[in-house]
Amino acid sequence: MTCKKIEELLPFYAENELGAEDRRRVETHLTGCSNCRRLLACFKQTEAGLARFPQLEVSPALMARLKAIPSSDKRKARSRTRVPFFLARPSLQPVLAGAFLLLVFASALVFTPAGGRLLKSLDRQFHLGYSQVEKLYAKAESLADSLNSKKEEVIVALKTASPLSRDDSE
Amino acid sequence: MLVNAFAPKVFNMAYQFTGSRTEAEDQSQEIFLKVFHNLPKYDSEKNFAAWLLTLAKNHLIDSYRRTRWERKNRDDFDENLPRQAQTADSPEDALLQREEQTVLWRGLNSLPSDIRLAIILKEIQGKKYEEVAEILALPKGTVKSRINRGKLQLARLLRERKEEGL
Repeated sequence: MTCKKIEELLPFYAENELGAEDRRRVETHLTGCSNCRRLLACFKQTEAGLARFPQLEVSPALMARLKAIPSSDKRKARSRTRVPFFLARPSLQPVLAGAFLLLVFASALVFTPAGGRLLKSLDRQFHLGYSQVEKLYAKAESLADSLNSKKEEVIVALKTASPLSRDDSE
Repeated sequence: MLVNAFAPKVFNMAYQFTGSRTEAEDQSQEIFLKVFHNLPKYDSEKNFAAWLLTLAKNHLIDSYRRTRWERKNRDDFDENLPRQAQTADSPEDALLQREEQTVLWRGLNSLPSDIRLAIILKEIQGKKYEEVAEILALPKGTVKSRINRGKLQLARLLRERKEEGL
């Protein structure tokens, strides 16, 4: 058996978990191999050494920090749930999303130079449109007046030209 | 009550895993934050200690993976523990034992994280294979083979240092 194979079996040998045949092979190898004997000794020292590491005391400061967690966690949970409970209803979510987008758009218009320029141009266009509408309205009014006067003239002309009025004169 | 019962276990597990008291304190606090946060999800039919230590194990390994590069050059590795881990009577034996403990302590911290945790739980904290398997959520055979591999690696390191005169 090679040293490599023996090394794989050593932990089981140290814990008495090998079958009789493997155990005998390992022991035969160990008798003639000082390297593997030293490894077995170090393996046992490793186990003993690991078991000797002490369990440390938790410092009072850490204990205080750990004990403070549940109450601070509850406070956080309360502050998290009080306001959003109403706002977090699924039915309100599209409305909130829309309002948020509107807010973002309005902020972009108000707080950026490009937005300011856009607002000014919109304002100018609005006033131009408004003055055109006013002019059209004034034209429409004058057209209505002239139509009224024409209407009266037509009525007079019709009256004078009608055969009924000729009969009357006869 | 929960903190009194489990803080020493969690803190020591974190300390033996990180090798640093300061880091172990920070990790313990983060672990307990997670524990309190996840308490509503705990299935009362399962072993509470195993559930809590599994959560601690997951946190330690995740945190180790996230900051692995920083740890390579860390300067807060605690070299004092080996001094507290000696039981020899004579000054010569005490010195030798301290040297061996230092080799093991450094060697433990250089093992892969999954093997290191298995060794910490079984060999340092004294848990049974079944308990370690439950905490690590692994078959008992896998746990056993990881622990054996880790101990063999430490034994080789110890043999090497002894040949160099420690």
